Amino acid sequence: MKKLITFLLIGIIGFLLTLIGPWYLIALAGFCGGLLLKNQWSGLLIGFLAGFILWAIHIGFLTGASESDLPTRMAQLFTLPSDTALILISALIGGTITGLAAAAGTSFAKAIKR
Amino acid sequence: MRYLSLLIWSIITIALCYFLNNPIGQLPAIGKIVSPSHGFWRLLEGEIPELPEEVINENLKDEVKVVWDENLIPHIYAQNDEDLYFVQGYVTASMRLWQMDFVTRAAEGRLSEIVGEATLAVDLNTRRKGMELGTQKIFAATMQDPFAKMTYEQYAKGVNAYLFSLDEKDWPLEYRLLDMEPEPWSALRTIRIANYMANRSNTRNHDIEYSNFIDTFEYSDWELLYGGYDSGEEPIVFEPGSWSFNPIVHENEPTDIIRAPSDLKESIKAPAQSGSNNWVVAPKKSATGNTLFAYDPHLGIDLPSLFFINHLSSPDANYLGSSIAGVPGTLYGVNDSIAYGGTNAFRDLVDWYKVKFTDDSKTKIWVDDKELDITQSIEEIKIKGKPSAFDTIYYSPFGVIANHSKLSAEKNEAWAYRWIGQDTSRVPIAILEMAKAKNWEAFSKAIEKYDSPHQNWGFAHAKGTIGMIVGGRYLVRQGNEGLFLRDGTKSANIWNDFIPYEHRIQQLNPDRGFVSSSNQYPVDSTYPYTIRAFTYETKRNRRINQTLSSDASITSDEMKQLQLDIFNMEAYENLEYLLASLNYESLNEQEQEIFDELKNWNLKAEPQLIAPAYFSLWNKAINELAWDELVNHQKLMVKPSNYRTYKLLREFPNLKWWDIESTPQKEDAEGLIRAAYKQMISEINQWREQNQDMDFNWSNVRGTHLIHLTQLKPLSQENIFTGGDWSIVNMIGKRIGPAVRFIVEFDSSKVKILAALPGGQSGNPGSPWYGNMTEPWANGEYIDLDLHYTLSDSRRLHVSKFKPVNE
Repeated sequence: MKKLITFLLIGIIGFLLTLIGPWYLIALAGFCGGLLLKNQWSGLLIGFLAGFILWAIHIGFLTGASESDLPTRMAQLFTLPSDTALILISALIGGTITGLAAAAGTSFAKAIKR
Repeated sequence: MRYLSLLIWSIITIALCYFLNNPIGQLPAIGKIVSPSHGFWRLLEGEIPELPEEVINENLKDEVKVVWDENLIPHIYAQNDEDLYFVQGYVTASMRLWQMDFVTRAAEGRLSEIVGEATLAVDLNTRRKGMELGTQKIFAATMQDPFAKMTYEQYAKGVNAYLFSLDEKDWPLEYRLLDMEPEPWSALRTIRIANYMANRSNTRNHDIEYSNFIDTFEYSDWELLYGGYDSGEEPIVFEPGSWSFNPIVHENEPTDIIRAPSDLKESIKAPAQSGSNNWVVAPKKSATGNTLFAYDPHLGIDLPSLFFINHLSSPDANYLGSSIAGVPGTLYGVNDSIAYGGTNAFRDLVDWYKVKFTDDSKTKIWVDDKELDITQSIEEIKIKGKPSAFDTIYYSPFGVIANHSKLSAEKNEAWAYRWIGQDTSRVPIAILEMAKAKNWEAFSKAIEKYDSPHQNWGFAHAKGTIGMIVGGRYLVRQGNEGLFLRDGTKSANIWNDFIPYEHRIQQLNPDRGFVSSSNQYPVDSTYPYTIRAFTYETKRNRRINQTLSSDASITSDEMKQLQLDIFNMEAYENLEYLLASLNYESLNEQEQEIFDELKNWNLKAEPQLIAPAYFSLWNKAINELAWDELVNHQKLMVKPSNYRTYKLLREFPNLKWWDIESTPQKEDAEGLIRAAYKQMISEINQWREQNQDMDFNWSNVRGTHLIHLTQLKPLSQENIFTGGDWSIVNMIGKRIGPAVRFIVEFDSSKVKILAALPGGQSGNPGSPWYGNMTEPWANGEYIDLDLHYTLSDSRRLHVSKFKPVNE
């Protein structure tokens, strides 16, 4: 249950923070979420999943509303095989940042609790 | 220990964020590109793009409404001109911000700031042309005119209002890809971009090449290969005996040919060839009795589109046409009374002078054996990731002396580049006056200010007046003056005499019922001034004139067909001769097949055919082999024109030039044509080898591409399926073609306007409107434009409202 809440919290905070601030504030969202957890490895995992899914959904929403083939062209620019590959890699980047930040949050919580 | 894992996780997270937020080497800042909140994803647009809803700004006096029609063309309805140009600036920026910003920096010689050392040579060249000299003068002249001053300043405010409404994450994609920041707009930047775009067209010169030629060969060779004119039989204006004025004559004949030293290899080259067509049909020759107007400027077809189509309306003006993003008004256009558009008028507008410094300090030069002070400027060119480069540029009455043109240090000699673009021009004022002109007199008065670039202006009036003005400020030239390198130590050689506007070449309501121009020779031989240029167009103009002459009742549809005409005049005139030079029996199987293909060809450059490719490559091979002596020469040389080449081949089959240097035997014209035939076939076979996945047809062999200004292929449109070729009315090359097609019919009830644009209205690669018009353009389809498009038109995409701040 706690993990689910953490997962949702990272997603929601991450979305809101990057709406008003720079994109890397998703790291702050991951960190805050991580504070709720006890194990840094589950922090890493939950954080990763939250960031990955947040970015994948957000990007999916933006590409779905569009009629442009730019995602395919941008994929070519980065020598990727398809727009799906670019979306996955983007989401992977988002997930990695929130995952690492959540692990940092968990370690922080543990460090000050002792 | 308890903080160790915190430390590790934190450092990795922060480091990752840092690296993704900054560009590394060639890679842009990835985080700013792929994150959904700030990346390119948010620039993706749907069927209806992101358009302004309601803009409130203190620079507005009244409400302005912008109706975006079904082709994303903005129709701007303002209640005064101040608001009109403010909103034009805003709206243009909303579609083309990066394009106008980037091109202006190119015009300023500042590309290296963005790109790095790779463009240093380009930047140096831009500055050494002395463009800034002209720009500053044009700016000063423009600001003298109260209406122009208001227009250019309001436009700049409009652009900036849009720019300042953006967060960094809203900036166009290219800013992120190139790691650059937008710069605020100004009236001066408008003049820069206008001068830069304009002067792409009038720097063509072969002074160095010609001097090199006579330094190596004989003057009689030069006369044979380049002297005189290629074609004069169908000049733009043919009114023999009508030139009733006394021309200005130089007091002392200048012209001295200076043989070029071999160390002058560099030169400032004009960009790739460009051309254009325009023609106007009078009511007596049109099927409907309406005046008809057609215009298609052949320019670089890049992405975002060079042109932006817009409609500007206020109580004082109502006109529609194409603009260059960054310049208010339109470059050509149509209003309720007139339509107008210009083709490039070639003339020699560049000279190279050999000047002599008095000593190493380079502060004075020798003129008529007296010392003359010159000024200098030290240019700093900032380079991305590197220390700045510096260059000294000297300004003399003989033009710009650039450091790179140092002849030899001992003699203190150098080359100066004089170009008409270093002078003032009132073009920024002219384009505004042309748009408001309602008749020939007002139009002609406006063209008087259109100093440079030099254009053949086609004019159509709703009531039936048609006309042509060869506009621009021209030098008085005598003999071969200016065709070769010149002596820069004599004041008599300084540019001084210009042809007065009253002596211009023009034509009004000719008997034949139409006027036309396609970059050909401008006037009949009785015109009292010497006319010199380096090449004139010899094919398109005759095709257009023949078509128009032979048709007594021309329709708007036939105007379209003529713009889209792909009849190959070059082949019509020369193919039979070329084939007769081959001996069919001695050809191998493939050679015979190609022979048959060419023999049965309908002479049209249709995209799906293959014969146009055979002909085009054969033609190219003949040119290369005929002039191999010049192409391979260590000095800079230039090939004679195609027209001249065929003329000489036919008239003099045994010229020394026909021998191919790389072969042991001696070729005559026939031998050359046969060798070129074999070269063409080997090039074709090579193409097929390398492009096995592509259909073998003319369109693909030529390959027409709309390349994005960054040169990034994924942002470009490649291999557009379309016909046309050089020397064809529908002139389409690899990177060049009709940058817009425009047809106007002045129907008594309505001005009917048709247009086609390669690319699209939007400059956002994430918009479906970025390249949506390319295919219709390639297929010869047109869109309808309307000078009275209403707010309630059911086809409209959107209405944007611009309002003043309420008190």
